[in-house]
Amino acid sequence: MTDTLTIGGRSFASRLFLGTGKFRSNEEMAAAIAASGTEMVTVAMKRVDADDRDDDLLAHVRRPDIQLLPNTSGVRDADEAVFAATLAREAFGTPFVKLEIHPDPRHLLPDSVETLRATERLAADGFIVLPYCQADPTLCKRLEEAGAAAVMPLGAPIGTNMGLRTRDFLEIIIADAAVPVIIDAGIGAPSHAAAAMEMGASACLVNTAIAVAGNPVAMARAFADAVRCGREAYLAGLAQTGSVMQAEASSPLTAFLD
Amino acid sequence: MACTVCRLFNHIFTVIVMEVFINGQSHTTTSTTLGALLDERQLPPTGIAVGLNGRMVPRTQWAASPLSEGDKVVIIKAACGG
Repeated sequence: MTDTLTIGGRSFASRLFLGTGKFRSNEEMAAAIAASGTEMVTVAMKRVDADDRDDDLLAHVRRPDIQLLPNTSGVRDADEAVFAATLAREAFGTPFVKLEIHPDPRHLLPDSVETLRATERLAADGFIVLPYCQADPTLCKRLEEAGAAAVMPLGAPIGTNMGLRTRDFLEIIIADAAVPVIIDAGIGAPSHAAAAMEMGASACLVNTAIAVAGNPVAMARAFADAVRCGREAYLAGLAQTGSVMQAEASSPLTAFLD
Repeated sequence: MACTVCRLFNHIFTVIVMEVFINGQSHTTTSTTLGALLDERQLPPTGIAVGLNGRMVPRTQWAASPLSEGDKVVIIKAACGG
């Protein structure tokens, strides 16, 4: 059975997407990307200084089987996000954009109003827009109507590794969405990713939990397994959850010893 | 007659110096186009993008984009991020 995820006309065999921040070195990052089997990798943007001598990040992540997903991190409103997205499309040659507008540096929570405005403008301009957003079912439908190619609701604030704190709302979003739902932010352990996939999420985007792990390459493999495992469980159809007050025997209860 | 020659001379050889901002840093230049300004820096052939006053300018249009006093230029490249 083929189970591929399609976003913006491109198929993804892996449902694990990786961020490239916080790794100890570009070499370790490239090894973790390879170990994860991911086909979608985020990149941010920074200014080119006059005496720029940085290692070229793109050399480590640009491969035919990997879709670059530039983000708009650092912008404060829809105008800046649209500007950033057009810069990214020119620099990286892709219409894919992870739209993220989080003006508050303390919580890094997305600004829903500006995110919706920017999604409308970018989708109309031909971008494949993946907005990082609040786990708000109404907002996610509005983003979908505005032309988002997928929605990326958060499980918990960025970089906190707290898991699926928004779980109930994610369930509603997944149940109602007509576009892929990618759980972004807060996934701190493979078990969180597996839980998201069991709920029916289309994919998970993981960065901090892999990048700062004791062994990022091994952790990337663990996340890949968890995402695959959770997806397979979802497709298999999970058994219903019962009540602690009403056990259901799985063995025959007829006495056989007397 | 001599004054006319002087005026002509000044017209030809007066070098216009203006201040622009590149990535937020003040920069004095005699370049009159974005293309000439960027030629002063050795930018890589791919993986970068340039904006002028909040609008992206494709590489093919750098040479034809005139610069004005106080213009804001941004040059970006890839960085690690989630």
